[in-house]
Amino acid sequence: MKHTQALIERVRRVSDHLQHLDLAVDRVLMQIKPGQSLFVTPQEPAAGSPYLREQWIPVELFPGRITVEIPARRVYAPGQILSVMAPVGSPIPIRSGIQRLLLIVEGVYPTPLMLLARQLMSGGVAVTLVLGGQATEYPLELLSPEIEILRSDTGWKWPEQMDTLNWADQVLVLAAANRQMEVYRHLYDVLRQLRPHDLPDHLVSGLFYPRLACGAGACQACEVPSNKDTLLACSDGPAIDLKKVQF
Amino acid sequence: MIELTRSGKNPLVIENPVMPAAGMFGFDGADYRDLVDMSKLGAIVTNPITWKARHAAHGPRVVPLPSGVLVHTGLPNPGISRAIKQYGARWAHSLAPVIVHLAATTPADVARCASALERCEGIAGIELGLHDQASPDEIRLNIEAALNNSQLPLLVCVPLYSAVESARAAQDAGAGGLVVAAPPRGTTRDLESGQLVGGRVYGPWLKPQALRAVGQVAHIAEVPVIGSGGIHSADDARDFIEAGAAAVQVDTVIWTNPHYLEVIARNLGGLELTRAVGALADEWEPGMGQTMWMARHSQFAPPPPDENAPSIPPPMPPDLPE
Repeated sequence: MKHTQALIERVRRVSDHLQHLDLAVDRVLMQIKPGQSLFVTPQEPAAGSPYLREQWIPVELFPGRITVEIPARRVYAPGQILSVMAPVGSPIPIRSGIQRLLLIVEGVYPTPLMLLARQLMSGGVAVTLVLGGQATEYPLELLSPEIEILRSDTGWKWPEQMDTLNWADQVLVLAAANRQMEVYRHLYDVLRQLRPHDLPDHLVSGLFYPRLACGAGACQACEVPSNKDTLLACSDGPAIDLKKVQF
Repeated sequence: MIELTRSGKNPLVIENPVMPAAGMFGFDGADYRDLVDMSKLGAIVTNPITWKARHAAHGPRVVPLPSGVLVHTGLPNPGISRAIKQYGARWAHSLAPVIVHLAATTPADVARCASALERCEGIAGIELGLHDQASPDEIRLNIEAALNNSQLPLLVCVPLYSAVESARAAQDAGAGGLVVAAPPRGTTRDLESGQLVGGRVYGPWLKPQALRAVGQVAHIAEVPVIGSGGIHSADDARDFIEAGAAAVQVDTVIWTNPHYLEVIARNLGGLELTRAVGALADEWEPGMGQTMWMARHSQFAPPPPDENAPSIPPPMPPDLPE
């Protein structure tokens, strides 16, 4: 993890609830991979600034610049300098030879998966995105037109659910913290029934975004219940193979 | 040299009066190895360790407060045996002396943990963390359990709101030094989940209360006192020294600005760099971070921004074997 500074170059309100910030960053941050994030605080915190650093998720990478998508309720202005610790977390593991990726998002915006989807699609991977609950309110114009979008109902079912689950080479699930384990367990059980003899590593991973205190693995407050080793969302995650999770 | 425990057979002596507080820096400091120079710290205090492994608490564990944070981790740790197996080698080669923090659960567990640590190389001392309602009798039993099973220097971390009584009991029971104080507990509503959450509360607001407790304990203590609570700058740390502390522990500012730990350590240890007139502009200084370091090294200076530059081809994420 490095400690750097970033400059806010542009602030764009992209929907009622979201804004995009273009950050001029040091080249050490250009190595950031999908799944990894920035741990940010203003260089000169104003009164009322949050005490803890915030986790910002990149949605686009350009030379010397990273675009992040964050809630619109926080006020930032071009020219503001940020203190950045990064990268937080590990890259989302992608299975070898993947052709079809299924992303399932329930109750939150799909921001953490956008960079991955964009990069994999440029490599020829077909991406299907299932949106449920609050995720359906995500502005579709922010998504690439090549992504197939499905909507799930309140029971996490969507049209041709079994077909899409069978079709996918890899499944990534992102759910709101309050229903996370319930959603992940449900989908894991469905996949285990579908492929009782063949559930390879990283076939289905859940993404974990608890509120971080240290972001470095020191406080262990972001521990994910696991079958064996200690898994931390901030260093081992955000994507954790659901085979390793203790439900 | 600073004595952290009373003089005797095995005093705990450190070179710098600044160290992280328990729970802030991991089990060996490795999580901050790129951000903090461990060799500049007086010691490293580990996360709390118990006899048996513990998992993190259920429900929200980190709740932001207007000027600080409430944390309820549940003291996740691998248990003493696995901790020694996992971190023992790194403790033995640590650039700063390692003080292992034991959560005082029961005297029997403290005895087993102390005994296990006694056989482990590279441990400079034990810090015993008392629970908030520990009675003088409980304090005595836990300290005796530690002292009867280990020759390692023993520090005892007392709760903030019973600092004087607990410190007196700990000192009478044979504690070599006192850490004043463990942060208090509070309850707040987590707006994300809507739940009420209880846990330890941290932040700059804690400093005046901790400073008062340090002053009160230093007045009655016959052993060295380590001050802790809300330190966010070298000036804060100096206030604790002035109040009677021999050394200080830095808490949540490590999470918000990890390099401050080294900056405070360098300042109090007389290691702070000052730039002489005419000095080269590429000197390193503590806390300057990667950005400033690169800017001072012309060969690494970032190129001027080019609005029309084409976007770089997106790198593919790493492949995993099938």
